[in-house]
Amino acid sequence: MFNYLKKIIHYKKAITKHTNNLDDEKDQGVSLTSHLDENLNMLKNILGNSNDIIIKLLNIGNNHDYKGALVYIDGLVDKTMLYESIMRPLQNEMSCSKDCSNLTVLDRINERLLSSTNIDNVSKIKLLIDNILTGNTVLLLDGSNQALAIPLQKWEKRSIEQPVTESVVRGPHQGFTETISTNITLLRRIIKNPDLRMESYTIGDQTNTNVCIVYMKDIVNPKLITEINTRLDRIKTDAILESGYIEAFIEDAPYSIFATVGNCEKPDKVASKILEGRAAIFVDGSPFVLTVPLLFIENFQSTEDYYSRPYFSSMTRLLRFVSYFITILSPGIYVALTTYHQELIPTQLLFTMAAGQYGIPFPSAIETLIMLIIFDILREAGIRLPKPVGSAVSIVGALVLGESAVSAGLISPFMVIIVALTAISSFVISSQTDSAAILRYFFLLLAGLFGAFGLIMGFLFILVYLASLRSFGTPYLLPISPLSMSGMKDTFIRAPIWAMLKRPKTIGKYNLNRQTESYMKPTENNRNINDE
Amino acid sequence: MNIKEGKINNSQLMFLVASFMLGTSTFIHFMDTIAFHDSWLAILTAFVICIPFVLCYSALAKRFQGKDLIQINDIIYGSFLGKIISILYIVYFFLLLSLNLKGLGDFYVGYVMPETPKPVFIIIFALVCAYTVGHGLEPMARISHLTVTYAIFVITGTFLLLYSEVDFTNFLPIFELPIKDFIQSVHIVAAIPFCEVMVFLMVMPSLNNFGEVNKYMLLGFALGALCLLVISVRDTSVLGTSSFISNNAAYQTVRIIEIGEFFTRIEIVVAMGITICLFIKICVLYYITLASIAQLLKLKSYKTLIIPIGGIAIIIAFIAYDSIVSHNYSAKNYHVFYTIPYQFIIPPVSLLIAKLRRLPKRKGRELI
Repeated sequence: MFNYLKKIIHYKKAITKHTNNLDDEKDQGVSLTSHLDENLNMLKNILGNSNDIIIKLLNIGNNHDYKGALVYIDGLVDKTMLYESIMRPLQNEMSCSKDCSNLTVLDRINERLLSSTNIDNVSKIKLLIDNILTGNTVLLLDGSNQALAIPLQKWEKRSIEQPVTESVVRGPHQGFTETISTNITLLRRIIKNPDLRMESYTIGDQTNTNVCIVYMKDIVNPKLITEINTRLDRIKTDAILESGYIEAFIEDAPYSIFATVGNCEKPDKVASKILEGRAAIFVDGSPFVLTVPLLFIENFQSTEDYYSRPYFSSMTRLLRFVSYFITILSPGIYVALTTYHQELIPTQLLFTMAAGQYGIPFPSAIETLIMLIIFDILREAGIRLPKPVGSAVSIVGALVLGESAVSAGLISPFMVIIVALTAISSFVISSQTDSAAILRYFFLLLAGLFGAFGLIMGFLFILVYLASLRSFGTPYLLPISPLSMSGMKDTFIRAPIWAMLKRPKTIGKYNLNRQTESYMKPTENNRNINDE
Repeated sequence: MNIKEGKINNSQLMFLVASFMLGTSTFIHFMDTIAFHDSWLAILTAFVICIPFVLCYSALAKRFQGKDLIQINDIIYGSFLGKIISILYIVYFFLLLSLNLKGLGDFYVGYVMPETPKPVFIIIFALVCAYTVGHGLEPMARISHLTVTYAIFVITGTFLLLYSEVDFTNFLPIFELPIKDFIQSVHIVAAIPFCEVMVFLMVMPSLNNFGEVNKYMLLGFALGALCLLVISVRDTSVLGTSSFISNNAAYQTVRIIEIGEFFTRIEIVVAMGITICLFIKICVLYYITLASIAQLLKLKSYKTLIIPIGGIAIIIAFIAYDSIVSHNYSAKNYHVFYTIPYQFIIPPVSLLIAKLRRLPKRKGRELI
């Protein structure tokens, strides 16, 4: 057994070594030659006959002295710009005396003719291919072993819209899009500070997806950035299609039902997290930006808490805690009470419940289980349906399954209330809906088997589990456990902004002071500003 | 997991101690049958008497920083005698673990779910404890303040809800008790809930800062003792003489609460409090048993011991004593004397020998 495992590990090591070597050779790459035809042939060999790859031969200069070629991918390039700022100047305005060598021609083109910025000189075929695939236009010139990569990217993309997952009443309405450059710009526009740093990665052997770590240099814990770097470096996969892929590769507890990497869709939320000392990971192709480290408490915080008055936000935050407990515990508590601890129900209520349950063929644990499964089916059916059909689902769900099941005597009316309450509460904590759905069944099972004892044991188990989790070195349950009194200002209640002088103790410890006490009572002069 | 991996801080120690003592609250009720309505006096007296002993434990931990009880025994008594003392201690820890598991089963069978067999509770509880201990000392230390907060919340809440039932004349006449009975009840309180904190000699080495260990140890001890005192006062003042008939006065007291015909029968809240405090206590005892065996056998990790030790503890919890009555009888008449050397003799003697021999000696930075 162990020998077998050893063999597998050895084999895997050998394979990774081999592929690493291959990568190295590729990185060395083949250089461009000074013959245009040879270069184009090489490109054609690598890129194949795909019809979206355009190779346009042209004669450069007003005397048509030089042969050249533009290579780009149709659909990734701004065609008007291509014509206006490259083709026309190259063909008509270029004047060059015969004595210029071919190499200097390329430099002159670069210096004088092209108005586009960020032009790179490329001499390796692999870099050239990378440039073409990311949407740059490549200019090759006969007689030169270099090429120009001109960024003229433009493609169809979604405009900036209000995010679906986190809509707010007060606060900025814009959300991230699928394009990484747009997303980073959105963040730059909020934090105008030279300390906002970014580190770029390309991950995925097949997809070559851009991944970018963003953080504030003087706030973040440097060890956090090195940790993220090592974890990202470890990723050896062929495709990154969404930030969820990155999350799966870098999270601390891969088997946990609780997410230890956060995600959000709103620039202002990411900005506030970065300013607390966290790091954000942008992934091209996904509007969901990852933030690490994640604390359990962040699931209960919303950006709007900070934009509205503290009393109301404190109340809503407490409400979120209550709804979380309702959504995971209420089916379990109902089952425990009706099955094992009827004596704990007040007498009047007990009579009502008993009357409702009269004639129900199932024990209450089975009844609850059936109703919860039906609810989950309805929810799953409702998410991906087109809107007109969605209303049909809700009618079937509410009327047929709810009303008729009760009147047919299959389930008790009390059960419907419990499931409805569970369902509604589960939507309050949108980011924990997934874990709550599983925990609900877990507690239901325990309550059905062992009553209140099972519930208490399950609760302790989950508590210990959460207390043992860490997200990038930060205890997951902070600031509740280990207890941090300064963190309590932003846990169950939300203190006024001017009172939160410090950043979270563990995450922002390298630059703890957020602000100095700047709230002032109105001075005597100002107080009577309108009095004569 | 290394034996001493995972550091706790001083306030976590404090809450662990308090939680540990609160876990015992349900088992010392038989003391009321000796002290009757003077049990609050017994608790107060025992508290005063125990302070020097608690200080002695923390002084020992402070003197031998980072060394646990087994290592301290080796240093002070030499490797042969030290090992024998350590084995005696391990037996004591193990016995505490099994008896507390049994106590939990008794409580649930007796008060919450009478028709379910006891092994169900003991096994499931032990499984969750084993899971916790597998994560080391940190998780239980991190949730201990939650359990203490909950316990304090329940104690004050029930006291307020029972305000109309409280009758302080139940305490009269004070000091009617024969002095012999009084001494016996003081001894029971001192030996069972109070000086059991001696087991923290195995936990204190994991502290990250030994500077204020005396203070926090004492604070935790005082917090736990205060809660026990308030519980005792509440039960006696509400139930009066009938308090001594019931086997679990706290549970009986809370049953009386009835406000507006709806807010009734909230004793499940007390059952929860007892369970979670007992959870911390049993986890600590479990950890201590494992850590001391691993230290004695010089194992690198105690993980391999979790299942076998837990299994044996569960079996002993099944077969120990026929009934609660015999358990109480034995606790009253034998257990309190059995614990005397472990709590009241060996630690002070160790401290004395350490002072006289100027132990621990230092070799460079290492203690030897």
